[in-house]
Amino acid sequence: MALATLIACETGVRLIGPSISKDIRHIRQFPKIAQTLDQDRRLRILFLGNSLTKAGADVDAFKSELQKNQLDPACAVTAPDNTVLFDWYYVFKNVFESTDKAPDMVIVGFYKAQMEDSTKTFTRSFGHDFCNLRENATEVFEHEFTEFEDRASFIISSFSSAYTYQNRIKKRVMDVILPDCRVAMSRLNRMEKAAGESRQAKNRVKPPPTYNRLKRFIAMAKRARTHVVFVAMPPGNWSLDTEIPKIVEHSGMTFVDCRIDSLPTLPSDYFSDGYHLNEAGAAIYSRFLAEKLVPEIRRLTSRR
Amino acid sequence: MLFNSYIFWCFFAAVIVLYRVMDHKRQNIMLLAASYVFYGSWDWRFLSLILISTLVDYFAALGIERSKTESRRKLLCLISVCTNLGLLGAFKYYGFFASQAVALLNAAGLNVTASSLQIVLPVGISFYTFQTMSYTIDVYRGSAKPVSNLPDFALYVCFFPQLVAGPIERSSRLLPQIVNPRTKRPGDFAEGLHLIVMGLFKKIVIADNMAFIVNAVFGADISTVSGVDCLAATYAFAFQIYADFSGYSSIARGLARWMGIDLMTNFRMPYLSGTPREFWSRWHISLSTWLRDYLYIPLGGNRGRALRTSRNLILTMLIGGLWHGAGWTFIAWGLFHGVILCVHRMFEKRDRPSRRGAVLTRLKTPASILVMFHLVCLGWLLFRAETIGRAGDMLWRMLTDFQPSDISAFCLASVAFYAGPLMALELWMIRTDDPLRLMKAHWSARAAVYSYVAVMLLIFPPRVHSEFIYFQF
Repeated sequence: MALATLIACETGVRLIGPSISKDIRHIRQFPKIAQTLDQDRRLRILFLGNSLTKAGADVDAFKSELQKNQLDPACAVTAPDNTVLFDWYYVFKNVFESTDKAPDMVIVGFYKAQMEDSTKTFTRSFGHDFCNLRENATEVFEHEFTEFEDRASFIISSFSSAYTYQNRIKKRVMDVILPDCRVAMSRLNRMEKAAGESRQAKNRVKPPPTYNRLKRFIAMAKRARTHVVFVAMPPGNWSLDTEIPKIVEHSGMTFVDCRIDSLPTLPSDYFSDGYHLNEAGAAIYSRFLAEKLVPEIRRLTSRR
Repeated sequence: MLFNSYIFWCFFAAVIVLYRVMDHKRQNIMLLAASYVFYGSWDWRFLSLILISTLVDYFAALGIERSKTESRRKLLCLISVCTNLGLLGAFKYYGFFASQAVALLNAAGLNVTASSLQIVLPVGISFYTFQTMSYTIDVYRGSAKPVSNLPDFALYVCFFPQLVAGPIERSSRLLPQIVNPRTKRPGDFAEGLHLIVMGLFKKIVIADNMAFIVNAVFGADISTVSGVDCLAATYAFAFQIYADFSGYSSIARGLARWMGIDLMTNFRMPYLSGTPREFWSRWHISLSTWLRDYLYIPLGGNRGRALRTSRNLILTMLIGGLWHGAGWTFIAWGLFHGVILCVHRMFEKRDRPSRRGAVLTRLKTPASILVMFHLVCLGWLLFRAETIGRAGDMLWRMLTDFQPSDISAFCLASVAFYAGPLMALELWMIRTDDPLRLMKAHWSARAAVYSYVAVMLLIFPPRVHSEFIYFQF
């Protein structure tokens, strides 16, 4: 009976998963997005990131700014929630690079430690949504998951939707059972993080960050003949490790600083929740970015 | 290797496959090797300590049996006890007592510093040292015969399901099951599966979801939490520690059951106790009975005047508190339980009711259960807080600040959501005082419960699992 219940859960999640989550629907659209972009004869630009990019990339404002400079690229956005470079690497690899649908330019928006090797997200979505077990297992086990538990979780999530999406389902159920639970959980998260950081600060010194994954991403983009633009995104004037722009520019790619000091026309009330740009803020950010990228886009257009 | 990790289950799958195809002698050797692999997976250096304890107690017990003089028997027993307590003292208590001694001497005006040794606490040391000590003491008392097969005895000490967090097994229960061939019994698989699944449910769904709330509130700046927040977090901790520990014990019993070995029941619906004495007959039963048999009764037990009995109770509970950890909060927790046992004893009726009468009495006094639960929660506040001062601050807040918040609402709702069904099940089980009552229920009731457990295990684990609490003891 318990086994039947588990099978029913798995079947149910596979069937209704896309209908309960906008993010799952977005992820399921990636192959179609890649196909549509690839079939466009214009210069192809992809925005790659997480919800900050999803909220911040106003494609219409971006394109209208470029059109003032007689540039008219095709644009698309692939920005799954709660992801970092750890995930974007495999999204780009599996959806674009390995299918020969790599765009001419990819704009990767990041925030704080999202480019560091030590920053990883939840293995379950990673294994189920962004990776192909057969094709990526070797690379994942070599570079990303060296612990047995992480590898086991990666393998199981490759097969099971219920296992992968359990946290999303849990949140939906908790929203119904305990309304406003997200506010309390968010506050408890901050309290626990503060308590944990204070304990860790007493116990150990954090080692300096490394960026091997960033270098692998750039190498992969080069093989696919894609120019990568890395954008340090708002909000705030967070501390940027100068190693990142050094690595990016040394490899011939582009770095754009869009933190708050570079965007004086972007005050705090242009963020819907303190982190994600609202409509007005996204338009300002996207136009600013487009203006910065005009020379590069012109160069790529003339190369085609 | 945690019970709720994939690698443990791969390990156990290999163990059980080998177990099924081997004869009794090879089974024991294989289990011994597997137990050392299991224990060494935490830190291979810990193996030397468990080997020391095993060898000292094995030879001491044999020596006690063969000794002709009482003084020699006593000496060998003393060597065993001192070795085990010495290991415990060195690895668990040295740092605490050294720092307290230094603080005391400095307060007296003597400028003293102590070298700080970074001693790693070996996992499970409190459990296996008590287990082996009980063996030697039982042999000394004549209530047990020593075993003359070292591998069998070593397996008794390090049997992996119960090695790192109990139950603390007596030699009279576990050794015969090791020494003698095990037979396959019809209900072993079903009962083992029931115990394992329920144990995983308690640990992963209840304990780990409560841990997130408890860690946040107990670690927060006291000015940022209200009294109701503190109360709610204390309730959450009460269910976290119960689900964590009883879950572990349940998994341990289930694993052993699959190998045809019966480990003792360590928890019997403790939060439905109406008195302190009843609580300690239902909570961590293996430790409470150990303390009763090897400390409380030798001190004199309740034979004597009330003051002496109270002294014995308080001393026993103090040691019980100290067993849990080297810290003033654990000592205070033990003292607290000692005091409530003494106070209860003063007001207890002389005639103890029969077991059936006890069940009926319990049903008639939900108020006593509620009061006892809150007394236990007060103890947990001391147990969980980082310092006594912190416990005091939280208690003061509870008594003076009645402002609810989104956190307290969330905490209380989470406790009801995660732990409520378990308590409902236990309320049903306590009618016959049988922790395995569900196994005898109608198939539809079992199906409903197991389906619920399966869904909760699939959908409601937290993102990050916490370690078993009792591993730190």
